[in-house]
Amino acid sequence: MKTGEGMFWIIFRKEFKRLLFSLPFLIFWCLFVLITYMTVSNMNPGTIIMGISYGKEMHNAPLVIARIFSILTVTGLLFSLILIGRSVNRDFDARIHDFFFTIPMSRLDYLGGRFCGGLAANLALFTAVIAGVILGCLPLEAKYCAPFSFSAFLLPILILVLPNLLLIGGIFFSLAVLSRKMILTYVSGVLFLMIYVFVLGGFARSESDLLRILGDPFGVMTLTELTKFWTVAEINTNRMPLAGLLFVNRIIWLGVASGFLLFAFRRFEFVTDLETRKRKSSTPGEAVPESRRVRSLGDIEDSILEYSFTAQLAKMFRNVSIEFRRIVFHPAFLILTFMAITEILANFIGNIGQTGNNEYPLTAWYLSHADHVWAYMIPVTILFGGLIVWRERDNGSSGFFDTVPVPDWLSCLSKLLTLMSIQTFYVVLVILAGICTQVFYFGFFDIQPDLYIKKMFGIELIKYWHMAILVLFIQNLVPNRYLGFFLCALYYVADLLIFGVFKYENILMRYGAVPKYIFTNMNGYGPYAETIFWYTVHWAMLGLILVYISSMLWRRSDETHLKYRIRGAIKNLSSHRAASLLVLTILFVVSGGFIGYNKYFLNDYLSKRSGRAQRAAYETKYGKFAHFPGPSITGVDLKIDFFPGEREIDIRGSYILKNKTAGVIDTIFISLSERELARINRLEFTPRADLTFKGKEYGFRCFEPENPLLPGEEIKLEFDFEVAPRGFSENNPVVEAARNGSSLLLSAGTPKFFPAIGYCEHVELTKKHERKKLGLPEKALNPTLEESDPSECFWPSDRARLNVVLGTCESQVAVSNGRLLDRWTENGRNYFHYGSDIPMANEFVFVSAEYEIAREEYKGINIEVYYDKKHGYNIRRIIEGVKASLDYSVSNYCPFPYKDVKIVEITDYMSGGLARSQPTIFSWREDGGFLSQIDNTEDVDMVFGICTHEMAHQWWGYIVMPARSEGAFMLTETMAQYVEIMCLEDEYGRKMADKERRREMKEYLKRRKSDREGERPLMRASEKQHYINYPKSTIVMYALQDYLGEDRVSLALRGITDDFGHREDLFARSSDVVRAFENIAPDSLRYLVSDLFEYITLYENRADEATFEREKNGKYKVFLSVSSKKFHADSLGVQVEVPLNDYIEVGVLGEDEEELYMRKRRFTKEKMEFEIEVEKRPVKAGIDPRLILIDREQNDNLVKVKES
Amino acid sequence: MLELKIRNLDKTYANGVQAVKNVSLDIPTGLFGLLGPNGAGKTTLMKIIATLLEPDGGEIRVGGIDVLNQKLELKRILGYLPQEFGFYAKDSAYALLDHFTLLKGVRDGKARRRKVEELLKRVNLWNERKQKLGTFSGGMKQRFGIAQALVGNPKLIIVDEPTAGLDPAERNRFHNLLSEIGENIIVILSTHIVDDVSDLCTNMAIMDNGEIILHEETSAAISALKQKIWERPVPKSELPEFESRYRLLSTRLFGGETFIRIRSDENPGNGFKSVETSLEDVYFHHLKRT
Repeated sequence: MKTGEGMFWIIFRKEFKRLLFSLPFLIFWCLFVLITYMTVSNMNPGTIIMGISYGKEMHNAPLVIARIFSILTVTGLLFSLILIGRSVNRDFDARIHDFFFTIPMSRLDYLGGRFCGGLAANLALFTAVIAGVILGCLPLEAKYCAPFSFSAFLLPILILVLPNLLLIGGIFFSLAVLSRKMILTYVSGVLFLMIYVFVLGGFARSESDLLRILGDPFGVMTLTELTKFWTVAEINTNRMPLAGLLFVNRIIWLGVASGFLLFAFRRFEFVTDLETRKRKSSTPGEAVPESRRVRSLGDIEDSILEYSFTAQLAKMFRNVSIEFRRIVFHPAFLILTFMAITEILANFIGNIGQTGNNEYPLTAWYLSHADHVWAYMIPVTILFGGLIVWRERDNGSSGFFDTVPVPDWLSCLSKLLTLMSIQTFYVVLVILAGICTQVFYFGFFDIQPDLYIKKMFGIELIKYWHMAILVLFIQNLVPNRYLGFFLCALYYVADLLIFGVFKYENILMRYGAVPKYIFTNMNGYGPYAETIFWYTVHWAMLGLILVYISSMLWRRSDETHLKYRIRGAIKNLSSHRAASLLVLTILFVVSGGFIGYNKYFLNDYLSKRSGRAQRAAYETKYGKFAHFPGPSITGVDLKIDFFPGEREIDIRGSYILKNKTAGVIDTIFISLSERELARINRLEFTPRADLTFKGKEYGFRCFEPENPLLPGEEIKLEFDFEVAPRGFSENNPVVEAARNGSSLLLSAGTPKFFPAIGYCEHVELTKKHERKKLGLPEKALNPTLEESDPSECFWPSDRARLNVVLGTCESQVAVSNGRLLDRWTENGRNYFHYGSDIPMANEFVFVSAEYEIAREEYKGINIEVYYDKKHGYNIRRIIEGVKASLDYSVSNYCPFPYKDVKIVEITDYMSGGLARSQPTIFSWREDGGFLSQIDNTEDVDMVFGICTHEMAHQWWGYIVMPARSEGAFMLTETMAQYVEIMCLEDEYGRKMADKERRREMKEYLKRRKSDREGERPLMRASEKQHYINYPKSTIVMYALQDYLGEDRVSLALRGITDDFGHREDLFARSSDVVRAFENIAPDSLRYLVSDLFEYITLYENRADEATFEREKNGKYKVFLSVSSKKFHADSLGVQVEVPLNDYIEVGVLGEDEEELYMRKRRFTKEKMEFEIEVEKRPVKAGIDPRLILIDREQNDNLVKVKES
Repeated sequence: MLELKIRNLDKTYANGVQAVKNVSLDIPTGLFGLLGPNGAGKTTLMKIIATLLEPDGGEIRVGGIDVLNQKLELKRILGYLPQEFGFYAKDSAYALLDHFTLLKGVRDGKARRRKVEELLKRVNLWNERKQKLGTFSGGMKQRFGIAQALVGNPKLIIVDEPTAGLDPAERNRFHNLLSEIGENIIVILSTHIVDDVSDLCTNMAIMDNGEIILHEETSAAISALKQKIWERPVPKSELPEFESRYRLLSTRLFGGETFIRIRSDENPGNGFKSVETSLEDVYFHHLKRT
């Protein structure tokens, strides 16, 4: 039939207008404005949804706008579903498609009009972004706002939004056209999102940049990847990247989109019912002749009917098993299960641990991924909960089921148990998947079934059951299931917003939740188990109440109005029902009260916010005493008794305090966090000092000695504390007292467990926005190098003699710094006496756990590793690391003054890093390397690496201490990183070290743009600029020794240890180190030292072309043309090109990367050409092939050498 | 003898429609026909008896059970076939009937198998027992429904419009089934098809606009109009004239001619002939009177 000319436009216009003025459009539009507004104005929920965190860049920079657009096409995918997907399904849903199909028009008119209408409306939705960006800029400071630019919006709309919508629309339009079921379209939309997130997660871990650039159908990652090394300045000024690869990505995915669309158009048929034809053929013949034999029904024998309790159980069991089977074979269930397990396993198998190495496939490690089931359990429960509750009403059999003689509670419980058993089944599958993967994939047999049960059943499943109860409760009350779905979804969105985004902390308001807990392999659930238990009891009561109410109000009739059910429930409220409800309510209130009693009364619950307020108050009230002269700790004498079974610790001891100042000290300040202490039995001075003030915050106290302390005089501070659990604490139990793995840290300036002398700056809040919120002034930066005082140490650190006796239970070993002087057993307890005659920096650790000990005597030094007996995988690597690092530092710097090195595995409770060095000892978290699984041929051995790093701190941090100044970490982390990379190179060869350096360079380049402080050169970096102090240090130091020679660098550093080692009056600054380097550098390389440490220097090195020809003598001549530019960048990354007069390595590589030629050549201009003669056939050639210098484009340094 | 007593039953829906107005009925054992046009309130009344709707007032008692307050007790003696229903399409007839049989209280597996087999054979679905319910035709579904209603020794069976939409053969089969049901229980058949009642029911009531307008033995209702029904063919053009002159009970077409029926105590002449009284005449007579 010939179609009317304008049919397409009529349909298009109608569809577009209809959508434009529809309620969903308005809602989505407002939502988009809101999200964009919050993102640009840097408010929390917006930036979290977008995954955008601003550094110093402008908030409406073109790149940021492009990101917002691209991410919103993903976030708004479900909106697209409704706008585009529904545009065709609408007719089917309303069952009016027959009318449309009888109007004469072509497929293109009908489908095309509908699709384009939906697409146009969806595109119109994105005008919201423009509004949101403009609004979002209003509250911002002018320096964060770029002027309005039309192209900043137009380009992303054309390049990102339009193709993305075509793709999304194409997929869902075709699904809608083919299935004609909206529910299927919705489900597949959710699935698609999950697949996307999941696959992208995989890409993110992949080593191939190209995969990330081309693989992301929405270009989100493409954009990130293409701009990952952009600086703040570039973000502010450049338009979105229009790189060729972006277009390749767009073309690929446009192709996919058009494939889907073509498919949909070709398959679409104007038939009214897709099922009709099929059904007809399977309809049974009605012609079967029927027996006419008439029997009287009077002869039907009466059945024996049972209504006993066991009979009711049998009925319930049948109800559950029938529905269970239906759900388990439901395609959506299978898909969701498959998805969850795939995701969990993918994370588990690609198990990158904290160190960057793989982890052993321990059960706990699997479980740390498996609790992600939660994200799938919400849709599963909501979807199938609704399905189950409404099953009979939906298929029309409710009339039968409502009138069978079973009580209401049985119907209700049948539904609930079905839903619960589905969840249980889901969890069991996840557990089985884990065990199978451990056994069959990894060949790992140390499976811990108890952990699986505790975590997946004891914590997770119970949480899901509450979810089931809630969904059932809601669906039972609402008049139709769509409202039910909506309310359930709303509940979980609100839940996520309140507790996830806005970080509301009171878990007592979050039905079914247990407070955050930390699981450690050494100590299990530790003190958290009790908290979890009581919360579980508490919520179980509420759950039972909800079930009770649900069953009393259970829908067993056609009455839609709730009032009839409430009336009925009241009528049937027998005394024993009322009594049970009352008892449950009382138990609920009592258990809640008990939790509250423990939380607020026994443990003085501190939310994060009030914790911050307390720290702020401490600063405001006592900050004025920060620079009061005080005595120094010169001796520490302790007796610490661990009672692991009771989780108690007795701390007794004394400090010798000495007036090292030139003046008289008449007041001594002490800070002591009392929250962790159950009792303070004693805190006194001898000779006497009077307590003249006691503050609330961090136990700030002032003592006035009866006789003011004259210079050189000493006074003794004696103390006696008890640590013991008081009931259970919800958010911060004293994890330091553990059944296995107790650990106390005595760190000067940290007022925890041990008194700290003076005002502790450590307590002060550091984050800018937190300080601002609480009305504190910006934290003063460390003094500049020029203003710094080399006699002031970076830490409040003195050197003290240690003498400590540790007591612990029979099964445990206690460890501390220094040398083990004695050990004995008394009354079934083990005692250990540690001490050191040489004063040590005032950082002591006291640990007790069930340890295995590995010992090795190496060059007169006793190396000991204390580790959990199940975690002995990497002990060899650790010992080798210690030895390598010892050797390196001893031969290059100075001797090690002590006779012992101990490495102690401690629980994951320790915050602030994976490992922490103290004099002669370093404590190392379980997850920081003890469980790493390393393949020496492939992986950089980070266990060895971390070990050499931490060991190096014995020199760089304890022998040499930094002065209080910017760039202080150059004396600690920079040097430790240096030792680490050199030891890695010695042990595993240059290839491995190069691999590690490449990773670090990417890390540095990627992270510099998000620096809120503004980037600084290495020698002036602040202690918070980790991306400089760690990764950049490795690159810089490696380059330095590569140019100057390792020996000369060592010589310079030896000068530093000679001048500053073991000093208590003079501390090193980064400028001292740089001066030492300058002194040993030849004049021709002075520029390098300055470039590396005093400037932010970047190169753009590129190999342009390389050819070779065979020479008569059998050698090869390579003609190489390369180019190089050098830039100095400022704190925002604005680059200024600086003239070249540099030595840069030029190289020719043969087969298997064999270095045929490698020499530093002098560059004086951008383009340089070289003629190089090599012995073997060249394969690649280029500039700075090993990537010694920092270069943002790392893949163009080498080119293939072609035969000319 | 079991008897269902309904007293002063009222039901008004949320939208203001009063579907049942002060209905009182006594229904003895045996087949009872509740006749009425669509929208008369029959289904509402049936659903109230079957505990699926809550009346606003009134009382229902059957054999010592206060239906409105002892729903579970009623369900133990109830067999109910709703007007509209469906099933989970993928269940087989056998599996679902087995499920119902268990839910109604037959716990013993062997007894249940016997029961299910007996009933499926009775309703002639034994050969189709493994077939999915989604593929059943309307008549098969109704037969399955009645089998379901017969499970568990019901003393009160309610079938709501069971024959609507069935072809004549299926309807016939269904009538046979209903007529076989024992004499000792109450069977309420709600329908708008007069023949259903006249074929099957000894007692009947006519309901219209939520009210019971006739409640009598079927035969008595017919005999009350004996010799009072007259019929004659009428040319189409004269039909309006006849309509204004006589109170027409019904018109029907037969062989292309329109026949009209009237009620008259005496011979109206004018070409009318006396015809045998049918239940349909009773039905229309009472409907038109109100």
